[in-house]
Amino acid sequence: MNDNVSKRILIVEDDPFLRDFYQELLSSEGYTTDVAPDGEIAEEKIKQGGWSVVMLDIMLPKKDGLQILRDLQLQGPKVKNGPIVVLTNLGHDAVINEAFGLGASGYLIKSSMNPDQVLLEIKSFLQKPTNG
Amino acid sequence: MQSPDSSVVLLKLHQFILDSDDVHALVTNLLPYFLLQLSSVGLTYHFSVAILIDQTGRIQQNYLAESVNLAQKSQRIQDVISLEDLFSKGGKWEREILWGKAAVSSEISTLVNHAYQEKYPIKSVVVCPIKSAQKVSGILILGSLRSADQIKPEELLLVEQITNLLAIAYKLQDTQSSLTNITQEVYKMNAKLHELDKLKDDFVSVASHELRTPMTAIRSYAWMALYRPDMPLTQKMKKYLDRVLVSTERLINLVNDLLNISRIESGRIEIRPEAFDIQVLVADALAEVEAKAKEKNVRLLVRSTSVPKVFADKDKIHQVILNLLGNSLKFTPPEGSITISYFADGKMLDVSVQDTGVGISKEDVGRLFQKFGRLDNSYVAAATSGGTGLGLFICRNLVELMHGKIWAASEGVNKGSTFTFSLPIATPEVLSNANLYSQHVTGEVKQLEPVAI
Repeated sequence: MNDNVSKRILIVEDDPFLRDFYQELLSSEGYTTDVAPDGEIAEEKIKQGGWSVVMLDIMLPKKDGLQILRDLQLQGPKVKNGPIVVLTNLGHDAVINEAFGLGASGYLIKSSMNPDQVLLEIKSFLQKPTNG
Repeated sequence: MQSPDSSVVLLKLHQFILDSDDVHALVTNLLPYFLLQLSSVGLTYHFSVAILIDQTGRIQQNYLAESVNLAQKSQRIQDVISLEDLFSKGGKWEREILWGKAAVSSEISTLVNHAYQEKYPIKSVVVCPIKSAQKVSGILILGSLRSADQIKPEELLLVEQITNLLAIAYKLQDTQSSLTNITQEVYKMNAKLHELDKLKDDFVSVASHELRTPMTAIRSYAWMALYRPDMPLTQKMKKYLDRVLVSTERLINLVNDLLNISRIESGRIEIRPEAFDIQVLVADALAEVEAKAKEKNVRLLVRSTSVPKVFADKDKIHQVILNLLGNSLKFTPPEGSITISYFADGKMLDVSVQDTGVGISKEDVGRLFQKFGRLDNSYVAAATSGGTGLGLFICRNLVELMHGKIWAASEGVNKGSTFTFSLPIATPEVLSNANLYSQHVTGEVKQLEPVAI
């Protein structure tokens, strides 16, 4: 449990309730967490780099998740990042395919997962090797 | 006996009607044409006026044609004849019109416009009612420079025959007009329907999207309160929170189902069939529900046998199987079992999901596959795991899109149920007609939202 604190998770989600929830859920597991409420702040933080996992909502104000992924392809982060996991409301969306094409490693359907399932998914992503 | 001249004139007029391209202007063009044909056999008229009236006697249309030699044509029918005189009740023309035959008269002083008479020495008129369906639908008036006694009965007969042709021509013209109007209405309505359809699609998409965010928040926080409280919970609190959780799950499933139905009904779901072994898909589905089945102490059994490959859309069938398994799980008490079996008849492969659960009464079997066709006595079971009443409806839609059928059978209440769906076997014949089994979508393709078990 102690080495969880070395894992840094960035939560990009514009809905304040969900954002707080994910932060509380992951912090209580011992992970170090940070949040971004819109696309611009998100891109800034992602480009700083060093995140073990990035949870990236697609529908964001100022800049959407896909655009962030595109920008990342042009200019990578200062320090490598772990897997980027897309947060979505709908399954099998064309958006998800596009995200995969732009470097995302996985996706979570927010509305269909219980918190324990979210934790399981994040844990499995944390074990994946980094992919920038 | 008809004179050869008359026959020729009539033949020409028949041909004219048949050859006419522009049905909208049929009567307009027919009027001068028959004046021409009449004069070519020596029966000259200076003008012809055709008035069409509706059932209440109101004038619908009027047409005017004059002799071709005129340098200056009249603009309006009122410049030639007086309509008041023609239609005056008790007037001399009323009798002719009601009589129903063509008549010639030299009493034209009130009928023909005075100014016109000064320009052209009209001596007589022939008046003939235009009849359709045994009713007077109009009047034909021909004005001649010849005197009344020069117009013989044979000529009047010919005018009557021409009038019949005029009636036919008008019918054609009127029908064409209605058709054009109706077609335009249809185009307008169609455009409106497309617009509404798109609005509905957009609404459903946005609504289901927007609804999910608060749904997720409610679900997440309720879960946290129930499973990770920072204080001890009373039994009551646990129950309340559990019910909140169950309800949010139900709500999310309902939103998913509604979205799926909307997509299926809008034809936005693609069917991409392929030949595959359905037992592999069944095995996958069983693996997915295994945990829940264990939890409920229900056994999952399969009567494996060699089955032919089916030709269907894997993803959609996967959804159907999951739905049926999920239903059986919901309605089968502990110590029960769910058995999957197969039957092939050469054309179709039947896949049956049989359970030892609460069964279905005879009256209810028919309602199962309709929208919201949940059974009254199933609320008890459904309340613990949440059903939307739409799952079977969606299954039926999907199976039928793949040219299959789905049906249910049960011995009765508490005697278990068997749900069976059939799919086309991947015979060479089926494979060679693959495009009949697919559904393509132009424009945006949508996938189905995941089924909850």
